[in-house]
Amino acid sequence: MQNILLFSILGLASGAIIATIAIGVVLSWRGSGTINIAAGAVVMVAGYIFWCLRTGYFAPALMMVPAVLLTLVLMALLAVVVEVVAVKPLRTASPLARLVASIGVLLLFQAAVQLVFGTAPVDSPAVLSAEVVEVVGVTVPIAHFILAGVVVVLALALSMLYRFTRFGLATRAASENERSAILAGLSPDSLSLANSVIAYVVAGLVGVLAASVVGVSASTLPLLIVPALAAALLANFTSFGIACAAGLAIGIGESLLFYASTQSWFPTQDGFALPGMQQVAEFFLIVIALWWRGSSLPQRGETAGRSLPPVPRQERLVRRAAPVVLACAVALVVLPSDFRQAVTTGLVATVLCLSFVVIMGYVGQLSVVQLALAGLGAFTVSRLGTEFGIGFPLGPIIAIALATVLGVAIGAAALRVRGITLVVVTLAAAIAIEQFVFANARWGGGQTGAPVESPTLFGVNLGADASFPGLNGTLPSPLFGLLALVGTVVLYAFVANLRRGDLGRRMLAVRSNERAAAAVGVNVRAVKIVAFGIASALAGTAGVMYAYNYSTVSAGSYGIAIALTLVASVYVLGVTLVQGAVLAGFGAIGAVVPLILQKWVLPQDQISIWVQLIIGVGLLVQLKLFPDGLLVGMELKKERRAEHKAQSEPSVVSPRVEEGVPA
Amino acid sequence: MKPTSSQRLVRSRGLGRLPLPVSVLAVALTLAGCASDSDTPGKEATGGDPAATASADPWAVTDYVDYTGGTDGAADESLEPVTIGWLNQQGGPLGFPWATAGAKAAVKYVNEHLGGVDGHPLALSTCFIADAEAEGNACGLELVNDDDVKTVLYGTVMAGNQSFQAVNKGKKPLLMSNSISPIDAAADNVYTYNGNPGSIFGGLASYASEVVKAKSVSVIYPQDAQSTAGVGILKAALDSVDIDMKAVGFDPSTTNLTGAAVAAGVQDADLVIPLVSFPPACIAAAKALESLSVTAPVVATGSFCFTDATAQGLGGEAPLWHQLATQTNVADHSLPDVQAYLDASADVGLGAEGQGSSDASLAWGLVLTAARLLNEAGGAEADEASIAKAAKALEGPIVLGSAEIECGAYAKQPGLCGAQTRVFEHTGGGEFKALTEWLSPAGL
Repeated sequence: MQNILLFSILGLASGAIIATIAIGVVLSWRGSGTINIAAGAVVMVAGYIFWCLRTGYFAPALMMVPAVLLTLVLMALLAVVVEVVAVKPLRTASPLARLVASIGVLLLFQAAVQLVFGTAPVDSPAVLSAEVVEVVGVTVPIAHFILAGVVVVLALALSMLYRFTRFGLATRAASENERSAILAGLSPDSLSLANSVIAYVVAGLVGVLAASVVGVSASTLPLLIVPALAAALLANFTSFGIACAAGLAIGIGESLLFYASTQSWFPTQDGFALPGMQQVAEFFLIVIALWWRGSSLPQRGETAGRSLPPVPRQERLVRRAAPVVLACAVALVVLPSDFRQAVTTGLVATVLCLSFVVIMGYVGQLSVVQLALAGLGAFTVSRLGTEFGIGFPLGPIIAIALATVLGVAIGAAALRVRGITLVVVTLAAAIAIEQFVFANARWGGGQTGAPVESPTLFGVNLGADASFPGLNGTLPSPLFGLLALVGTVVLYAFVANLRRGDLGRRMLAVRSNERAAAAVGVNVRAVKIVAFGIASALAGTAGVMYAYNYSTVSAGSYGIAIALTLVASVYVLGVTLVQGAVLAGFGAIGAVVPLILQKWVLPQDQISIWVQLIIGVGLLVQLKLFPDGLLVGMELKKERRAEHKAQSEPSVVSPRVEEGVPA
Repeated sequence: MKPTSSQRLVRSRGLGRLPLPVSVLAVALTLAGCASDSDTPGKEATGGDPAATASADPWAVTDYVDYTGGTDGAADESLEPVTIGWLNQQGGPLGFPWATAGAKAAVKYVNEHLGGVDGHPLALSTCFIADAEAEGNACGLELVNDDDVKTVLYGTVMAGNQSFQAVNKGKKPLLMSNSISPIDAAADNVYTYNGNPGSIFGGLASYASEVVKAKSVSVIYPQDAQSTAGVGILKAALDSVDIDMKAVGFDPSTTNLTGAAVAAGVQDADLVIPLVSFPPACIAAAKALESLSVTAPVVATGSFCFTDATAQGLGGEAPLWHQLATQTNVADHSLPDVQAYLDASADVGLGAEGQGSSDASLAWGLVLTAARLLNEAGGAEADEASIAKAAKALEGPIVLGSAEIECGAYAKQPGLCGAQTRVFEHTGGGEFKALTEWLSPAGL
């Protein structure tokens, strides 16, 4: 019992930060209906600003109180800037667009901080007391108690603000029904801005207080969004009190897990606690919360139709795709080895992005677990080959089947939630897979990755090291690239045709309105499960191709940061079009566009941070210009032109009105 | 033949950085407060004035012409260059650009003062990994496919190692100072001259057993793929010397390690090992151990927890822990080989900051060793096979490294040619002092 008390106390500081981020998520949801993935990064920014002011990084150092106050003012200004740049322009855009914008803000904040201050953490001067107390024979800093107390007070204050003030009532009104709020003379834009400012100031205050307790790092604080999302979910995205309590409980639980991991009953492997148990626990916590709260998650009544991006018809695909396929085939033979490899990587990534088109574009379910499923396929191929001697083609088949089963299981766990909320469960699932499977030395990559044997069929090596070299006589062999090209084309055609067929129409019906779809006889659950199955199979296929392409698999290739970047890229390029998957694929890490940037455009120094910055800025700019995605926007323009032309020529058949396409 | 334990008595000051993988490389001993205490186990074991024997380094390499087998003077620029590949991690959040600076300085020195390679200028073909595993593959294709590249040298590489080797498949000799994985030492045509996780954690076990006389060791480690594997290697090494280990893993994104440290029993252990090497984790570990007023020695492997980045995160001072290193500490200017390095590298424009970087000094030594191997293998006529033969036959001492080098000394890891380590104490302000002689790894 003493130990439980001790470890509970030791978890207070972590819990306080998680609770603060959770409160920020609730504020964003209340204010603008956005799940703010950047909430953890906001705390980080506040910590860096305060450190600058106190240490005189840019200007003469300030005393404690002026530094705190100025930090809060700057955080408020930052909130205004983010609201103007990334929130307000997207108020009438789809929830996906707003979520992607928050990913853009996250990438931008993190990259900017690393470019300005370097990648090293900083030590912020202490604001809270440095005194310690002894608890069960262990010294515990008083600052931990104070920090937790401050967060509890903030949560109570916010609860009272939103319950008893006119501003709070107005926010709740706008949150429940924006149309009625406007009729009552309220401005959703102003309310959103005010809520953002409050969220940034609250996060800033706790960020300043916590900076000296936990350190300020651009690599760790933003990742605390995951447990914070779990807390926010338990709070139904509305209750500050529950978000605070759940955040503190998660931090305490994390600390108790340290204690539990030393007990004999705790699951072990090779004498050590199984890695990833915390992430698995957080995932199940989220799933339980979804099952408990799922049907009552708040839906916002909004002024404009917040439909998902339109799904234009995809016609003349052969004519459009043929030149690209031909170019790829030629490139795979004649280009230098690094570009040949980049083309193959682009093809593999295209297959992965096609899975986003199915699950996000066609069914409207925002899943970020696809990359983790690809990793699962890749690691399975590796382990089957090296440990069980199961190679091509049985190994890949099993690997894809396994990824499909897991994807379906995750989808089934989230059946009660719709659309955007699914991001929470898939985000947690992705991290749980990363930590529980990939980081495990026995199941995953171990220390430096897992080797993958080349695929062979009837004694013929089909891998990247096949004896059929490129035109310059070097590896990688174009053979594997050409096979990847064929596979990609087949899957591209499959996904494009899926949209035209009966299943595709049912998917679009579910995406448009689940209740309406059910009313006309569509089995919504079955459609969702099938969609998850198809998307997971595509992801697993991509994982297998990736493994064969590089002959190795490592956990670092399937991290959540890469997954979020990929999701965002697919969205801004056109998540409802197969062409969007191709563009996003060739812009993925290791593919052609990054290679060109790396070789000729960007400076070698801190290149990956510059790439992240460019992606972050690019996302925000692109979303402002084409909130539904670049290709979708262009396609819609084209359709409107055709429509206009048709109207001016009576002989032409009436224009198409597809699901989600404005007439 | 295995190198014998405790053969070397070098006393040095300064930072001997051991660039190992982000999380596998941390070993530790004492916390700041007790580091200068003459009663600390480390001091008790070594005794005497560390500076007293500093000039008696019989293995110190100071004559680079002799070491490389070159000639005094410049290379003949009219001849075709002899090219070696250089793989390094830089350009990402975790980068080691000083390694490349050190390598380039060494190449310049070879060309201006050591007659190049058999009179031919030495050229460096570089390829960098920013942070993605896939980039190792791209570098593999670039360097391995290049017929002009005779051998590939590893700088400090944390990601992309496996995918690089998947391309190389033993084709070209790979020369490394430190390897991030025991897998390297079992791979074809890999030669590691300073150490790998097996030798480093084995060195830790030797230190805990022979010097600290520890019975129990407390370990905290991030539950990433590298550290999870690393803690297993450490346990095997400690088991071989009958030391109990209590290890607690934590989520890599965790910012507060107090709970993990308490659960690992840091307050009761004879030795504390924060198995961390990423600056945020080093900082979190240092804050946790400080807040818990840990009195046991704390030892970290590598230099990650002693870098400027970590010092910055702790208010300007890196933790006053002990450090296990695999190379001569270049911060001790009294050592003859360090002085030779400082003079020579300054001569070709490597500044003080670069000279102080262990990445640069490791790279410097590796390039000079590569020049020696090329000369031995036939100069401009050297091919992959002859270089591999020379690399395998290399005996110590090596530049800024331990005296004994023997490829094949460890049957299961034929590519591990140098495996000795030694422990330094960070006394503050970037000053280090040697606590031990060279230690041979336990349980390897």
